[in-house]
Amino acid sequence: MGVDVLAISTDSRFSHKIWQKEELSKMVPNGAPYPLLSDAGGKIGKVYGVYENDAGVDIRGRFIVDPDGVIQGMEILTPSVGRNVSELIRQVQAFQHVRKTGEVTPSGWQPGKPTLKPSPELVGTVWKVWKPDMAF
Amino acid sequence: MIYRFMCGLLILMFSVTASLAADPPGSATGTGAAGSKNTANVAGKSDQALESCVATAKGPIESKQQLSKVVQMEAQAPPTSSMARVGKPAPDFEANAFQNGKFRNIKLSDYKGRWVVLCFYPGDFTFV
Repeated sequence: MGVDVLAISTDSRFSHKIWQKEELSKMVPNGAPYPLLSDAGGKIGKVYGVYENDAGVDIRGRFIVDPDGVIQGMEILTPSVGRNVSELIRQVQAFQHVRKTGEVTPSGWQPGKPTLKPSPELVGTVWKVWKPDMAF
Repeated sequence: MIYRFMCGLLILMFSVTASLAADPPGSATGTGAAGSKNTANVAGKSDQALESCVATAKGPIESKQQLSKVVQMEAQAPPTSSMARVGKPAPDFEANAFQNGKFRNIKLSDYKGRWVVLCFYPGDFTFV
């Protein structure tokens, strides 16, 4: 897919090193394959709207940034619920498809499913080509 | 002696000014940054591994225009123009990082031309 992942928390890079060694490398061979970034004091998290002042940490925020450096998608969760990686991958595939083709992807789109080509004729006739069960 | 003191003061002032880019006035990180800066200078450029352990990172990188706006507003909250929003440029930053057994500094703008997924998470050694 050609995507670089950057993981970032308020921990120091030294903590990241030990976490890779002591825990991540036991979940995944050789540990997480992407860089772990340190957001000292949550300064970056504040700009991204994910810094939680009371706990002093960056909560689970995830941003899809396109090759022009523009944010295409974001999702922010409170700490107790983890993310769904399949949905992240689907969104990246959809944004990459849109960027390449100029088509748009309706609700529930997966690679291989039909896309829509906006046109004057499509106005008011989406019901003919897209059915609600395609959203799932 | 006085000369040394003046140099120290200058470095301190520089760091405080630099840290204003992201910090509200009165934040204490300016002095911390000055401390690390001095250590980095002592380490010299010959020892890159040591350098990577003591190097500080800029954090959010504001454009000059935004910076002056922040100073004028005395920055109670970051200006909305530099906040992350969909369809807008991702605010650039520089952060210390660990990857493949090495420490280095990473800027988001290093990744121009690539798709990036930026994942914030609450902390190492947490449960979820």
